[in-house]
Amino acid sequence: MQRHLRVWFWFAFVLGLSLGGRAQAVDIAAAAPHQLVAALRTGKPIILVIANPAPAKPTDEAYGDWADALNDFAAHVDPSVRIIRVTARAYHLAIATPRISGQFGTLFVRDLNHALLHRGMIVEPQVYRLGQDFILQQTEQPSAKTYGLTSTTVRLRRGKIGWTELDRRVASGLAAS
Amino acid sequence: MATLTLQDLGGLALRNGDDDTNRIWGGSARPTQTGTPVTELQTALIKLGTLTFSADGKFGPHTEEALRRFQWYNAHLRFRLRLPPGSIPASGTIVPYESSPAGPSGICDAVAATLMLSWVADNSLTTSPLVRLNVGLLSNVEVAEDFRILDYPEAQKGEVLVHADFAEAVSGTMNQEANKVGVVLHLNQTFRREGVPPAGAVVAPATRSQHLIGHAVDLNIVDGSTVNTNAMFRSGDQTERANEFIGAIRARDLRWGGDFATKDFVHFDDFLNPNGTDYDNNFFFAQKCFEHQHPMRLAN
Repeated sequence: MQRHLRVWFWFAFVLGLSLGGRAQAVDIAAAAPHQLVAALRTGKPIILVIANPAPAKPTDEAYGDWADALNDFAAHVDPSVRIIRVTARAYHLAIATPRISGQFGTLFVRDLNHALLHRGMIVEPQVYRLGQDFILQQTEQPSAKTYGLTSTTVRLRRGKIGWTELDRRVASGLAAS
Repeated sequence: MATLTLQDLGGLALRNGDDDTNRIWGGSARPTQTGTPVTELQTALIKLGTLTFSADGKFGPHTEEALRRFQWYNAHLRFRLRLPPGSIPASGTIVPYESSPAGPSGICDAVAATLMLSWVADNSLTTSPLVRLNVGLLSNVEVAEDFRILDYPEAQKGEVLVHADFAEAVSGTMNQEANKVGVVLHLNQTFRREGVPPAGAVVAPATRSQHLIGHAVDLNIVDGSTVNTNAMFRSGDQTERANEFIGAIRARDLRWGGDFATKDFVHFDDFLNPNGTDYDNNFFFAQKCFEHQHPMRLAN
């Protein structure tokens, strides 16, 4: 029993380091699938940023606009909102729907039954404002759709494999994106 | 024993590899001479704002790069910052000046030395290639609600920062074409700071964007009550006037992000080769002078 408690303590500690505090505390390293699932199960507002770790080219203006809008939003986001970055591979291992095609996407999750999905890169700061309004004020602005935000629900995968195996597969590149 | 100074190089030209300690000047050991001309050169370059390292008397790649930067600045930019003695850059005055010969690139001969010393004597230094653009004076360009005003001296509501060479593209070309077509341009971003927000970043930023030198804008084309968003372009639902504006902009030699391999429908720029010397120098001066809070002149 004591051993279990110790394990849970360390898990909570590590998770807290990874995801805790203000959204700005999110680091450049992507979250593992088990961290993503654990965060979603808290029922708290979360913004999932699906992205690869580095730009294809330093001159890519679309990437530059996306990265700048995201980093600027993260620096000023409401403290109650967590931003979690995941790779497309980790996302697909943890989440059954909505499906994301391509390497970029953003999911504004109020709870598992209420989310807004933006496919591709967000290059307009308005999209983040609309997404944040949705998850915090529980209102979906009529303009959300015109900015590429679509209503959805989130269904987690009921995997037959444990978190450790999920993380191992992501780390070793075994899982398909 | 003759003393060598920056003011009197005596026909020598200081270059990479020169070293005050070992008395190597002009590419050769000169044991019969004394002086610290390399240190004096470095001190001048620090005052001029192109050398960001301390003076050590060794003419290495940083000193050469700083010298090249000054010579490039002298050849390309027509405004410099004049400081009251002992004051900080934010209290300086931007003044026009005439370009003068600056010697061969990366080498400090008597011509280059004279020019640099004249700047130092005048309390002048290099400054930003950026200008403030008062969007409020433009008929068909506005600052969007989500535009974040950057923290720079004299920042005013409705002002944006762009490169002096790109200002006309925004206030002239884009404003005129928007007016002709009957749309309004809502600016979301212009010049962008290098690096990450103080609180940290979620993803690594792009390092060679046109925004980093003030040569790009991100905007929405607003047609009546319709905001043409990135998503609308992606699905082909943009308005006809938005298409007309894009066509007109293409014809005026500006780039539109909708034509890029990775589509960025809100992006416009006039493209300065990101792998060239002009980009490197504009990047250096725009970013450094912003960081040091240089004042910026009003373009309109």
